[in-house]
Amino acid sequence: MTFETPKNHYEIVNDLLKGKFILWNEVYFDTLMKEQDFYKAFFKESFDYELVVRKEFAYLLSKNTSEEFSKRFTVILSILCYEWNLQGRDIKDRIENGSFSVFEIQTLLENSTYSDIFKLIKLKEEGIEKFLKELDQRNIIKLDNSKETFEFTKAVSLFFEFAKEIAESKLASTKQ
Amino acid sequence: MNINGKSILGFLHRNYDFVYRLFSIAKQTNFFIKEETLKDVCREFEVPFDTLKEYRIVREQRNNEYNLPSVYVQFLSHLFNDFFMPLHESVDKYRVSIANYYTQLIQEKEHNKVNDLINSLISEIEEFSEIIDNRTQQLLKETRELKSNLSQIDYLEKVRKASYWIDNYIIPLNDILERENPHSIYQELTRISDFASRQQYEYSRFEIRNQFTTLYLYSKSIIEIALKNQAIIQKELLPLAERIKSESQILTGAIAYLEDIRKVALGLKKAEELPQIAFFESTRLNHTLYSESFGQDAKFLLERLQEDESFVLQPTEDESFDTWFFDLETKNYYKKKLIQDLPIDNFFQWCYTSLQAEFQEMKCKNINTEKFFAVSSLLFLDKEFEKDFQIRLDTVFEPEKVEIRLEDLILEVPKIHIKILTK
Repeated sequence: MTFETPKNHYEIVNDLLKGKFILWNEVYFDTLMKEQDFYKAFFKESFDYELVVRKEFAYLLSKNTSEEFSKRFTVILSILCYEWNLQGRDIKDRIENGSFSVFEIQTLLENSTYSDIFKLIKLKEEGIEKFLKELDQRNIIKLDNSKETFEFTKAVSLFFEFAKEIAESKLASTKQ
Repeated sequence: MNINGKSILGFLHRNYDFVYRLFSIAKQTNFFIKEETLKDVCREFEVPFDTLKEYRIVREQRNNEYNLPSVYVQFLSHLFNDFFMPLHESVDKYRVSIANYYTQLIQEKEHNKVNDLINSLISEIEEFSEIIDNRTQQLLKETRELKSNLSQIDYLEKVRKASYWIDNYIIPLNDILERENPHSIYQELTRISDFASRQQYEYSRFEIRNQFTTLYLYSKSIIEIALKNQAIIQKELLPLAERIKSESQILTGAIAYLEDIRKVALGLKKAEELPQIAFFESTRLNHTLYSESFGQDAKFLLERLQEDESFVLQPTEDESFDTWFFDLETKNYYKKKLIQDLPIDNFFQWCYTSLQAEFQEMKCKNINTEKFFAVSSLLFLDKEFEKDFQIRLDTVFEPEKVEIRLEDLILEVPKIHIKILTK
């Protein structure tokens, strides 16, 4: 029996298992899109992971979520949303289309009303740069060559969906 | 007291601020107002309470309540450009009545009735056009106020308000004006205008032909108003309301999440109850990989050890003997190369690339664990480097992991940065 795999199989599997988002503009996104039935079955049967393929990105879902990573990401973005809103900006539009300086972000987080919560996620020793680097490796943001500015990728929409889900459950609980 | 139109208008003019306050308070409670509240407002503006009743600006109801008669509600709404918005059904009833009048009109043969039906249609269309104009402007005004949040309501309330307006006012209003919707007012008015357009030439009586011309021109102009309002709804009102809803949802979620984190820190909530974005766990699967020949080799050695006689390991016939040893000469070669290549950004990758370069020259590509670990041991030779090259190296471990694919093992190792500290 010969084992045939789609093109770029190694890269696709390896990237997804690293927790990386495969974005629509990456070379092998098309293969993943075309062969999504194969890959969905592959990850389900091999590892019991669910592969999510959307128009603009694909990623793996697992039952065991990296608590710290998820917490850090959500705290940072939540604080930024709060602060940008205070500045009177349209947060979703800004996050989806803006470019951000690492320094500006750091200052905003440290001087926020929620700076106590920022401290709770213990980024002190390694600094925000290291965390942003991890986000970059996972394709959640794209750092530029100087590593001083970055943009969010489409994967950030998971944060918006998450926040909206919390809001919906709040709304539902106040209705009862 | 002499009560006539002039004296009422004079009263409203003299007490404009009072009337505005009265209207604003009454509007919040569907234009019903408690006697006590009403008297408070009168006292504040020094307006005699009885005059209000005499001018019939307020009408006494049961339970010590007063209401603003609808004629004042309409007049003052127009005056203050602030319209009460009853539910959508109050708009939709015009669509229904316009359709009914039209159905009767096309069947009617009696001239006087035709005349009355045309007049009723015009009056109904007129009221309808006013109500959609006012409603679109009112919704736009309130949505903009919600956006600037002058009344400082919280984000959850904003979500609630925006969702309510979208579902109960904006979308139904859009539907009633929608060109493609067969039951829309647009379709109804188009049918009326087509019919009136023909009848203005065909109807047997001259004065009614003129009436049809008025109906034709009127329905045409209201179609334009309907389309103009629909464009405002689709291009401005709905996107604005949707954006307020979406932004407020994100902020509600973000703030609720931050407050939850605070509660966990204070021990008021369990960490497990904290919602999470289901990001994939980035740690690798716990792979345990063995060299291809590991099992066979182990079995062979075990069997030999069980034998009493001593044995010598010989290479098999087709096995080419690997003569690479990390002897002093090789070690010095790699030490020198390391010094030459400094600073090195990724030490383990450097080990692999250096071995690869050496073996490419030797036409042999098997970089295995043994060779790789031998070269990697350079990392622990600080003193030798100090002695041989009179330098001190600075080694920085980064949390980032690097993957090295050897012939017999896939390694995941930290990224190590090496540079000269002192010369």
